[in-house]
Amino acid sequence: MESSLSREPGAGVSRRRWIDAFLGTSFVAWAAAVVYPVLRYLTPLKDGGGANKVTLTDAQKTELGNNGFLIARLGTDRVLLLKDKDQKLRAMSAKCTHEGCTVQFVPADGIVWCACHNGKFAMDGRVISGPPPRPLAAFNVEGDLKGAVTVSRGSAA
Amino acid sequence: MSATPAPRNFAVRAWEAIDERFQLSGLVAFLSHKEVPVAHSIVWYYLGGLSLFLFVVQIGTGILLLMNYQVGENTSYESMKVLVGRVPFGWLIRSIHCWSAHLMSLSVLAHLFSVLFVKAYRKPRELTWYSGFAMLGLVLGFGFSGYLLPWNELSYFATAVGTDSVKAVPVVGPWLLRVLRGGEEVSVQTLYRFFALHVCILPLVMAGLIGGHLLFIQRQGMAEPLEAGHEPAKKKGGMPFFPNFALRDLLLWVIVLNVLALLAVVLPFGPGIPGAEWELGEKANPLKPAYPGIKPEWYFLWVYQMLKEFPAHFLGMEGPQACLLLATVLMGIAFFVPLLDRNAAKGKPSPLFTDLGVAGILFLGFLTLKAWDLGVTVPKGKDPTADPVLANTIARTAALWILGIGIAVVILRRLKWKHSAFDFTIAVLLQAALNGFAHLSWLVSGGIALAALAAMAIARRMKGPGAAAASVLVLTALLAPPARAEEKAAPPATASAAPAGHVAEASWPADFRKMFEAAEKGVPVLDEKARARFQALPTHAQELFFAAAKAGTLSGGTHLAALLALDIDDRKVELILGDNCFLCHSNPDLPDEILFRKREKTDPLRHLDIREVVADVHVRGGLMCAGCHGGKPTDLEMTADIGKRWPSSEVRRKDRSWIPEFCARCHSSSEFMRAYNPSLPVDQLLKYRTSKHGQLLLEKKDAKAAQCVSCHGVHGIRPPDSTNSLVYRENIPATCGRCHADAAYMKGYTKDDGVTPLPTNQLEQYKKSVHGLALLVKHDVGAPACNSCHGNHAALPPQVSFVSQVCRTCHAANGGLFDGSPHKKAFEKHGWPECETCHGKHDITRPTDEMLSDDPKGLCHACHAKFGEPKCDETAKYFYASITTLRTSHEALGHDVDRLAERGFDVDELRFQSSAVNDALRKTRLGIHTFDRSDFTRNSDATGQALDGLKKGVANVWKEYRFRRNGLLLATVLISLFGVLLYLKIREVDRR
Repeated sequence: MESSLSREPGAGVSRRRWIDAFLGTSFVAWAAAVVYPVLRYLTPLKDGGGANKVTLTDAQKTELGNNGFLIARLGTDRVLLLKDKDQKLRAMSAKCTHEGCTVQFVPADGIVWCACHNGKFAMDGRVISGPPPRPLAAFNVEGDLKGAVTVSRGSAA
Repeated sequence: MSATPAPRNFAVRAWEAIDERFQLSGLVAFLSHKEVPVAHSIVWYYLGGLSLFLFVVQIGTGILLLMNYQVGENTSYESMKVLVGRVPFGWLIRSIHCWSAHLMSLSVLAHLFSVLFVKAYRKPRELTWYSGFAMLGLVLGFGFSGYLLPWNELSYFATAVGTDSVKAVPVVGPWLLRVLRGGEEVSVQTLYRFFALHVCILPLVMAGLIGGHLLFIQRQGMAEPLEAGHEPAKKKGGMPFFPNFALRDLLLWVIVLNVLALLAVVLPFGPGIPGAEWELGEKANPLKPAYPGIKPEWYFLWVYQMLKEFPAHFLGMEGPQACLLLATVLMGIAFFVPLLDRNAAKGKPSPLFTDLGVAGILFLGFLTLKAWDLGVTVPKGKDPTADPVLANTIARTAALWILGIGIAVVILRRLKWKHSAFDFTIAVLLQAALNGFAHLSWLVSGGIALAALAAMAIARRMKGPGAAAASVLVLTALLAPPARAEEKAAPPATASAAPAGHVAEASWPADFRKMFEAAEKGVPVLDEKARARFQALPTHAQELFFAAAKAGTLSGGTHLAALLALDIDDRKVELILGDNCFLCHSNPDLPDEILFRKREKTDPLRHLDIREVVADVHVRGGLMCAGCHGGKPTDLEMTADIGKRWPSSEVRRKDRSWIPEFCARCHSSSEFMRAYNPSLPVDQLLKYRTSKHGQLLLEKKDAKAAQCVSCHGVHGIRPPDSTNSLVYRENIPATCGRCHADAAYMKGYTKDDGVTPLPTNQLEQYKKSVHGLALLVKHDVGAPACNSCHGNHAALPPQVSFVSQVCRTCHAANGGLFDGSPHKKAFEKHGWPECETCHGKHDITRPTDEMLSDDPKGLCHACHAKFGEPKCDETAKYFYASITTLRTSHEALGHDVDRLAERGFDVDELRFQSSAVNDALRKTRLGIHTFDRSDFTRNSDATGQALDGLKKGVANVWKEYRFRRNGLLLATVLISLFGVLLYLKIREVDRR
């Protein structure tokens, strides 16, 4: 089709103009398709990522204040936040080391409890009784319920 | 330049302004005078430019990745997770970077081989070849260093294995390994080094080399093919580089960019073949054991496979060392091709080198195909080559492929280009065939193939000159083995002076020295190993040997050799030497007295294994043979005291009731036991008397009843927390089962009613139960064993009323809910056990929702039909309907999440939500134990809410998926349009 067009006498010059114009336009469109993702990529996230550090939302803080504990997400981990006897915040992995159930805090007994097989942990994650083979891994927690609360990974710099 | 687009006037003026200042028209004139040879193999000329383009893509995407990537042990993996999962288009940038890296390696390799085939390396372009070869090395370095940066499991282990091969380098290997890793092991230091290498050092060196490479090409122009089918290249005048060839380059780049985008969206984690996949997976954990099947990137697979093909030792070298040498020789031949190929240097055809190139591809291809485990399907993390049958299948399939491809290429070359030199190809195909079909090892096949190659070379030489390269190769191959064989390992030097902590050899007593140096028929009784063992013993142990030699309890060289041959630690050697019972009764020179020797399977009870006895908790605590048997450890003869502490041998075999009392002499005395283990209970005998076993033994004098020794063993008793102990949690089912699963042994024993025979299928049932699987298969020592329900020393069959109390120790919540439920009263009325009624006892399986169903097999329905009211059945139906609805929607959403993960989405958030639904669902199931509708509904409603949240999350990600797909479609249309117009432009320019 194109070859038959090109052989028409006198069509050469205007054809060349058309090609040049389209070429320029499509180049711009193509460049836009490349530049758009890059610009979006460069625009920073509002919460600044959060695989190593997470800041609690107001709703989470309220839940933590009311229930005495909260399960939050940090990257791929479930993290248990609790208020200890001195109202200090503590954070540890919420995944029971026995069968991987999510643990809960029992404020009345001052223990972290896994309902699946009655595993009991101290507030610092140590195993008190039951089948869990290892303590719960600790996470860092900074701030208090009046201000911002951030949870971060173990020894993260 | 005449081919500027529409706003001609402005563009022309701008060009003139720039040209006036920088005099660029000269450069344009140079480029337009430069010509690309037009031959039918012109397609090969694009590969260099393509590699350059892909490198530029790498630089661009690499810089973008750097803006989010944070190198560090706790940040590398995490920042990649955020980059891929949360940063807008982060997945696209990373995926393009990975795809482009692999395509660049591919295109650089293709470029290299195309240059090899057209002999463009020949004089005067040797330096271009060398610089290109160096750049190939850099590209591989880029791949290797970049692989580690995400700090995930796969990359960690692949780097550990990959760097480890460096230590095979002679002399500097270990040092090089430490420098490369930044320490002994792959650690965060390695990560820092690889990062610096990947983003700074390698790019700088690469930029320099690219500059040189391009400069050489500009100065010398492009090479013309030397032998495109033996016809001398026709001078067609060539194609101007600019704009004709440059526009074609541009078109190719546009197409490649489109392909890259397409691949990145459709297969974001790679094509899924070993060595070309980049799913993040799990974070690297240096403490985790490596799993089989770890493979490097595809371009290293041939080395990886070759390492596997080499035995531990080869021609006096270590396997990896020999392998590295072979790889170096092969790479060296490729590198020095411009020097080796004399004919091409003179401008004459060199068909053997064309064949060498083809054979090289087939050689690498065969190894790579083998490394891909072609022909067998294996689950991830398994190594099929461990199974010889599978390994043969892999070799056969790979050989089949290579032979098919190889023969097709030979036929094509013969018919199309009239090639006649196939020596190397034949050798490589021969090796593949021998390895794949005759199941000879890869090395032996290679040796035979080399011999065949040598034979062909000699035959060729007889006919006439030529094949210099072949003879060089054959010579190196034939000369290398004898040269290597000369490297013999020097015998280990014997230490003459004793190091600190040992008695110097000069001061050994004469009588001992005689034993040490004893010889029989000229052969020393003590071998090298035994001598070294003695020399390594601490002073105290050595002195005990001297004392025993002096006292005569150590009788001679044979006895000494037997003691030194025991594979036990120093402390245990001292225990044996300190006790004359051990010494005399293990003496090979006194065959009638011997009690201890290495245990043989055919005669397990006649002799005791001395290694077992010295591992006994009592012996290690100082309670030696004499402690139970009587006499003193220092006695030199058997005294009358020995054997007097228990009844005579006839009586004690018939009536075993003396045993508990005998052990209890110490074990019931808190005063005595305090000295050894104050926390050990001392009430075992009291409890034992109340147990079924105790009653049978002590009251009915039943010698078959279990006593201390039956469960704890005799010689070689370990503390219960030792995994070798018969009463270690995991070993208890087998220990109890030794009697209770033996129908013949248990014959005649009945339950309390005195009539019902005691079953013997408990162990079999337990092994299949959820608890048995947890304890014996998953090694969860929290899972209950026999003694958890039946007790230890006070072993009794549990009563209906307290079985459920045992269950509650772990299943506390269920018990609490059951206590307030209507079932509690009903069960009590019927005298039914609580948990056991529904869940069983030894054969408890994982409960299913189907237990609630109104199917005749459903548990509730069957019971309620007999004993319950109609409303009970209704409640069960309601529970079943609610739970199955929730379960089905959760499963469907889980399936959706998996599909999204396959499409390259970060589904961590969804999995987090899904685990919350799982927790809620578990709580709902737990709530059934209240057997109360309102309690249950509270939990099932909460599950419904969690499920709704997950549903919303899944819907959002699907929306994002559609956005990506449509975006890709739009981008593809735009790029295709640009490509088509570019094509038209090229035709137009060509016509002018």
